Amino acid sequence: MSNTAASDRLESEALSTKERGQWEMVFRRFFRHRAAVISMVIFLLIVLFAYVGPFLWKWDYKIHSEIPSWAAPSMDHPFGTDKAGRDMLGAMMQATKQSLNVALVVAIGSTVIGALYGAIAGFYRGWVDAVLMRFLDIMFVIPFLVITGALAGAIDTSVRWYHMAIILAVFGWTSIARAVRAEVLSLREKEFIEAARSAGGSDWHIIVKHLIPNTMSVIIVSVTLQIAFAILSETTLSFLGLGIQSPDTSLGLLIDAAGASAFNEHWYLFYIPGVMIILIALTINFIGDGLRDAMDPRQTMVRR
Amino acid sequence: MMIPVLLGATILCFVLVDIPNDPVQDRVFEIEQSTGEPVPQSTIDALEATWYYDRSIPERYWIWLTGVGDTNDDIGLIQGEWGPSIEGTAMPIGDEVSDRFWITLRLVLFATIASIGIAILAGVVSAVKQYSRVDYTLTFLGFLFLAMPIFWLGQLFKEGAVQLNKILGSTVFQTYGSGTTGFQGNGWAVFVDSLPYLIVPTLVLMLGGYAAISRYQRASMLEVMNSDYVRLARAKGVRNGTVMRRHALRTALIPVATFAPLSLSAAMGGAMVTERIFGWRGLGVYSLDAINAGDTFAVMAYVLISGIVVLIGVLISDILYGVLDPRIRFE
Amino acid sequence: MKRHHMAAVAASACTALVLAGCGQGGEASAAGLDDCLTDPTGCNAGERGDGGEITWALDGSWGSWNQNTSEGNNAYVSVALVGMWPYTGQFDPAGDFIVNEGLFAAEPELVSEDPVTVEYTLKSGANWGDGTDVTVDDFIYHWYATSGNADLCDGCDPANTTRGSQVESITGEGSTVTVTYGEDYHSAEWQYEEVLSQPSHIAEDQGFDWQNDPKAMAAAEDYFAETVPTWSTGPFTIEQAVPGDYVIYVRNDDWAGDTEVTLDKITFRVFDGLDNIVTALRNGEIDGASPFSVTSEAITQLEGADGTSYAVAGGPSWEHIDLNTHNEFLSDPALRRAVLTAIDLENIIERTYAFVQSDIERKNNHLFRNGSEYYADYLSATGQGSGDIEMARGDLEEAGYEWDSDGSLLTPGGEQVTLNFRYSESKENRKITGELTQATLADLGIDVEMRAIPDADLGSVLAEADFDMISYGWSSDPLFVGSASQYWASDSGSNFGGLEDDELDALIADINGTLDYEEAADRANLAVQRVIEDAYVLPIVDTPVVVMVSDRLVNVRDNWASQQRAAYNIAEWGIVDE
Repeated sequence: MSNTAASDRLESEALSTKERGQWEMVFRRFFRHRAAVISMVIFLLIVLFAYVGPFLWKWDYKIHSEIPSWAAPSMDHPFGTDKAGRDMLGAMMQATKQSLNVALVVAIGSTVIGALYGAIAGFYRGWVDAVLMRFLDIMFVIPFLVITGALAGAIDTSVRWYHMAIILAVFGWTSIARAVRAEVLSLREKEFIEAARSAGGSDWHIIVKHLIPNTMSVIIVSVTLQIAFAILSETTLSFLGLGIQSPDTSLGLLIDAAGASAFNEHWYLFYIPGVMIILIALTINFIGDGLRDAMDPRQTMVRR
Repeated sequence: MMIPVLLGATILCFVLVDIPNDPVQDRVFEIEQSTGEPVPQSTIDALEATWYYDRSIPERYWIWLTGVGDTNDDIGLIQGEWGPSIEGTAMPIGDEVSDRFWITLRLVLFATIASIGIAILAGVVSAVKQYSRVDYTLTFLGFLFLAMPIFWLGQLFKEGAVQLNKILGSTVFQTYGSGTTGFQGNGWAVFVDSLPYLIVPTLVLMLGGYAAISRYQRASMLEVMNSDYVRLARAKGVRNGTVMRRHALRTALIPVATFAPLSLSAAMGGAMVTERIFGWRGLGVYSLDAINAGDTFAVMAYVLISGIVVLIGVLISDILYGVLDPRIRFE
Repeated sequence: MKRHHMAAVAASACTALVLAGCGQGGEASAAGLDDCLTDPTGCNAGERGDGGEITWALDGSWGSWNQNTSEGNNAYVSVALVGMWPYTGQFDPAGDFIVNEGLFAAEPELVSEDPVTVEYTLKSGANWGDGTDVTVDDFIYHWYATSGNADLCDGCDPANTTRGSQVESITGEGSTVTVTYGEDYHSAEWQYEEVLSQPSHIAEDQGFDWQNDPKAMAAAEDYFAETVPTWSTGPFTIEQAVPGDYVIYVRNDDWAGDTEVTLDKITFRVFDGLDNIVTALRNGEIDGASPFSVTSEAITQLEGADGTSYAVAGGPSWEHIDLNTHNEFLSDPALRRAVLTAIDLENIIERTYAFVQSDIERKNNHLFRNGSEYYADYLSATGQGSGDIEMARGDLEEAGYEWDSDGSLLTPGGEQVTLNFRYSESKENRKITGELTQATLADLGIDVEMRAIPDADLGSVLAEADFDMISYGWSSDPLFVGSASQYWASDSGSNFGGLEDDELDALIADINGTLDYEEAADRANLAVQRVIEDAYVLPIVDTPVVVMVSDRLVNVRDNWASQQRAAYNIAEWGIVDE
């Protein structure tokens, strides 16, 4: 036992020195990627808008009788108001927050599931891998909107953001699992894994402490992609009437409520939430792109 | 290999769609609401028997798959029967999905072909003019459309088409349906008839789908352009245009060719939204309605068809990869 | 002998949001829908020009062509088949019953009261559009199909057997058909019963020996469910149709009706939802629609549409709040009364339905519309729906309820009262109704939890009585005899709140015990009074619906009293003569 612990310490020291250098390089490369840095700033501003904004802005997202209905954007209501008498700036803050909540939970949840699943499949290979991969094929074949929509419909009260987050996470991890498995398949033959094994590390220990940390670059990139994916799926499902339901709110619901008002006097109801979705997905994609370039120098040349 | 995967997918879907729904009870309530009078028990029993809701879920799945047992001869996949739809007997699932399959296919094919064309063009230009203003603009546009929810784009274009019609003073673009109601004629006439209906939704689906492929194309083009054999050709003094056409582009198309069949299945997902907005009576909308109504057998039909389409896409992609990969061809 | 049993109902025309505009976009056409408030049966009337082709939008789909069956009992197919179906007649927007001019020469006649025997006189030349006359066999066919009796039809699943199961015999002589009912049949609505559905001779042509073989009878019903009906007893014949998608009609030259038909072609086309219909109307793809819902967003869009007009009025269903009498707290009538008293209906209506219909009125009678000849307001006097918290508190104190230090209501047994309120999640107005109820009941010290119902699950939630309070809609056609027993009889499957009141049951049985329409209406009102005492169901409004029409159409107007809504007088529709 003590033997293992000692080797662990040695190893982690070795790893950490290596890592520090690597992460430094990653940061430096990332900050050279101008679009990614700008995106990062915008994304942080959106996060502040959603989570801090409500404390600073005088209106919340609820209906107030003193708010006029369908007021165009003005100083009092920068994003206008809707029919029921809701300040749209307040509503946007809440909707953005709920959509980001979904996105973050999905990103973390699906990444954890996907990374473990992929690592286990890649590590054990053989029949474990075969069974796990067949199940992955099944998940791949099932139409995503159908299965998530059916599950959201099965919830017997109104669908809240956390319902949606769990559903999307449970069905959204497959691409990560594939990517991590591919990485693990090549990693598991490397010397440091051999070393960890010969030092008596358990399988679980090797997977969690050695394999997954070394696939971090794949994982971090896919986390960012998952955020964009979650935002888009969540809003699409809401639009189709299979997602989040009022009294909860989301960006997709706001667009759905705006209906066909893109070219009439209530245009702001349609464009503002739409632009917010695009901003989130766009900045996240750029950040992901920057991270990929930064972490995998080989790919810089052939940036995808 | 395909069959166990499809079986697994259908079992999973069957359970998830079937458990929370009770269409018999919902139907009975609807009748009571509309007639204002109670529904006789014999009718309720008859409904249960017609839709096979008089058995348990495993039994229902088994009978859906095999049709073995006490049936009305309208169920059993391996016997070519899709099972009863709760929509009613005038809309048998088999007829519906086969009609709708072509409607969806028309939308998806046009959109996919158009998006691949644009993607290749954009990708090549981007790669050739790497790091130029053109490249940045195209890359940004690609990212932009990648970030755009397709339903938002669809709403925008639909309403834009209405406004354009207003300016033009005639209904050039139709907003709903895939062709004139009840139109009959030969293939060409049907196509011409469908144009006013086809343009806007295809545009939407195309813009939603091209960005991913275009980035792919750019990357592979750059890889080829930096490869040794292209450099060699250049060094030999072959003209730039010829190098691009003869060597670079041809090789760089391979990844896109293998990627395209997969994007067909992505377009099927996008078609769900587009069909909903533009009122196309395609498979996507059928599945959405079936989910909402708890019409399990209809959902199963969609799962099966889209599953087969996806698997065929994977298969074609694998075959293309084998056929096109130069390391296999030139060895 | 037209019975005027519903007075001109306030079919209000104008809408809330724009008081001045009143639904007229573009150049005002001569009549439009503005007069429908004062002239429900004559508004938007005009001279018709010859010919014309129009498209009418439907907001829902269907999957069966046979309206007899449970699968085919669908409001949308009933509109889609309005041009050819052999109904007995139609209620017009004033509530008057008009017999089908293409089938009958006179109103049905009651020739005997015991047993009830009704005589129908067929119009000479009444036919199925294929050269075959309508005969007594067709009456018998309809009876068998809706009998619910396995000896007559083995395997039929009729949506409704209330009349079919009571028929004793049907005989015919020349153009006279006589229907004799069993001794249990006493409906005051005998003259409105549907008596025809499908042509028996086509069933025979298809090889179904329906008269002798109950199984063949069921097979014939299945055949009619699957087959597009190309026969017609109406002013139009179906030329082409796809279930759930569209029906294209051309004029039926064999029609025996007297009204001159001018339109050459009518297309009924299914759209998914109100928004798509409004967009298609603005884009000139359709000529009109009378969908079963309306939103203020749609009205904004309609305001901006050129060359169309619209009107919003109470439609064919009514909204209400139900209490579950099997709930541990609501089983006490005192609490039920207090709850219904605390609900402020005027406030609820102002914040919901009044947005789309400015002149909307609170509904005060469960069975008769405001303005009906038999309408009587027994509700206002009880204070139910008044929002009078003090009165509610007083009632509760009297019944032994108390409040704890936090102001929470405690039962006489010392238990804290909590309830839930359920509503279909897509119905915004029902949700707001719930939220406002929640707010007022909080003043009574009752904690209310709002729980949405997925749209498809309303039926299951009701059947399982999985609610304490719930808001939903019932159909409000002019027929009332069956309604009371369906809503409130202890043994009714649709008495979802589980009310058990023997006295009420007796009153309900009485309604069905007379053939006199006025008497039946009086007895129905007794049942209404009793159910109000029970504090069981609180009516809110007749649900507002919209009709929207292109200015080139005349004689098109909404009709709450018909299931086919604006399409009730399809023979009279036409293109305006210019």
